[in-house]
Amino acid sequence: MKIFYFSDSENTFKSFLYYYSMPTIVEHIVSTHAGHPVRAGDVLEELPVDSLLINDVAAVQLWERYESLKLEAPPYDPSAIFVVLDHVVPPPDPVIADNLYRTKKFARKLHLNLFREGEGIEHVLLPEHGLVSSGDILVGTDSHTCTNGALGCFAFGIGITDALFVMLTGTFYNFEVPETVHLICSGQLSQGVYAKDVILYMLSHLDTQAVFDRVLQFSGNPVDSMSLDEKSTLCNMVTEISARTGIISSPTPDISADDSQYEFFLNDIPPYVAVPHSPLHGKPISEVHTDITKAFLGSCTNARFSDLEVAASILEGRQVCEQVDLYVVPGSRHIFNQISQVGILSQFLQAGAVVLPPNCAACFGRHMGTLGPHDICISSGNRNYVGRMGSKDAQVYLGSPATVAASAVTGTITDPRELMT
Amino acid sequence: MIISAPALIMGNDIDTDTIIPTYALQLSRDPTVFGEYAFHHTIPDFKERGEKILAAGTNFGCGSSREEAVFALMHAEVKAILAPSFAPIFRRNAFNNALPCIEMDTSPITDGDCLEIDFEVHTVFNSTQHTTFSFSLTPPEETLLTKGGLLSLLRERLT
Repeated sequence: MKIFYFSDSENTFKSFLYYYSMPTIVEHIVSTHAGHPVRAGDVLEELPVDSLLINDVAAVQLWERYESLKLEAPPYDPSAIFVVLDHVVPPPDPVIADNLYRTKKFARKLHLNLFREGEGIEHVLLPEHGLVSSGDILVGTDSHTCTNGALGCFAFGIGITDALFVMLTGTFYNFEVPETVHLICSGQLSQGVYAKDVILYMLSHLDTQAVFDRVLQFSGNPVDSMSLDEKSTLCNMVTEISARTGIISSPTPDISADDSQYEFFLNDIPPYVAVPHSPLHGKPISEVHTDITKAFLGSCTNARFSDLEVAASILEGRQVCEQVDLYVVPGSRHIFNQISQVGILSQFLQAGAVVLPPNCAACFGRHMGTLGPHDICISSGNRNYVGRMGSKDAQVYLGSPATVAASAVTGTITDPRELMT
Repeated sequence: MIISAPALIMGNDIDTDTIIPTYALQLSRDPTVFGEYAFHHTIPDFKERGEKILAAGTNFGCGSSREEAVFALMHAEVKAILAPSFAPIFRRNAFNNALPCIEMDTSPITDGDCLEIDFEVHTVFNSTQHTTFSFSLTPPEETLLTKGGLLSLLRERLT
């Protein structure tokens, strides 16, 4: 392990800093992995990581690059590599079918852990199977790898070439320790307001320059009292503002006075909706009046059991509006089984929803509910860029599972509290 | 190394779904195919256009981590991207493929300005406006550009 660009005077200053100020959670995690204390701004030539996540979309080019090396090099630690087939499964066409065939073949040949089609979405699966924990470093070929910060691990998305380097060396090349920005929450969420509303509210209020490439650490009573499902929703969307990742640690550690911090008082937040075409364009739901043609309940942001449970409670005894198609995509096979056992699946079906097998589905815009040019969708997913969910002319609004369910019933973007009394 | 090309002006927050749409990601295993789909929704004739240095606003390459966004730009013959800031994952992916991302104020540049980027002296010369900007790269970024990307470093590391 080497550290780049230290001059002697900087070293003296840093020794002082290491001794006198509290490390952030991420500095602590990275120090543990580096084997010596590090601070924000330090650069490691190679950062040892605990696990690597590879999804079916990245896998195709990853194997191409691996073969182009012509080295037949074995993975550094196959047991720490998880290949998840979640983005475009089951295959909608022969090319993707062949890509999946190759991915399975490679995963088996290299003895990597393989989650087959229908097991679920990568960022739902790892916590569900206990494969990541607090203090770990996880990297993945998906920008929403940050979701796993909900567990207190340092998790971030990377590209294909970086992933190949990690796969073969067990380390991430040229790592600069990021600064941390604290998002300190107080107050209590009103009924009908959820983690999704909180993160959409935060993304619409944060100064993008202030959080750029930094770790967003969530803390405060309302965060502490959230379930892991809700914490996952918070951390999931920090990548939309180009933060490095999100993290939540319990109990909340002391915060140094010189760390950047923002305070959020959550008592008065209404449900929030991000309007086209950016996840940062959050607005109070009372300002959004739009008829819809599609409602999507799924994704690594909001397809966990509690998300589906809230949506089902709103749909109970009601019908999906005739002009709307509601797609429900459970985040994993386990969650699918759970909703089946407690009767939620039946509630969705009776309400007229289309229930699809676990995968990223229309949130990735490739199949299972892809939008056409005239579609207007309320989605529990994370992105509403131009063309993200299909046609470049489609309009995508982002909201909580409760907002998606309420809007599916009325056919217009609706404050879920109107249907919860 | 000197790169020269006319500039194409782009706005803030150009996301990777805009650079290459999802449906193009698995059309072929041959990465050169991605070049045909660069800015498919917004600039359908992008590959045929002559402006091969992008002069963008802040946060270029935000959103999805898809490295195919970099492959699409490279195979559409983009030579460099200039912007006040780059989304973190995109910036890494670009340097890992030896596609230079140069951090600088792009507001004085106008569409079609002829730019010359000199990587020896770290300047961008705007020959249309007769102005020169200086830029800097980190030592690892210099190494990645010199070696032709992270695959070369990985090969050295393993052999």
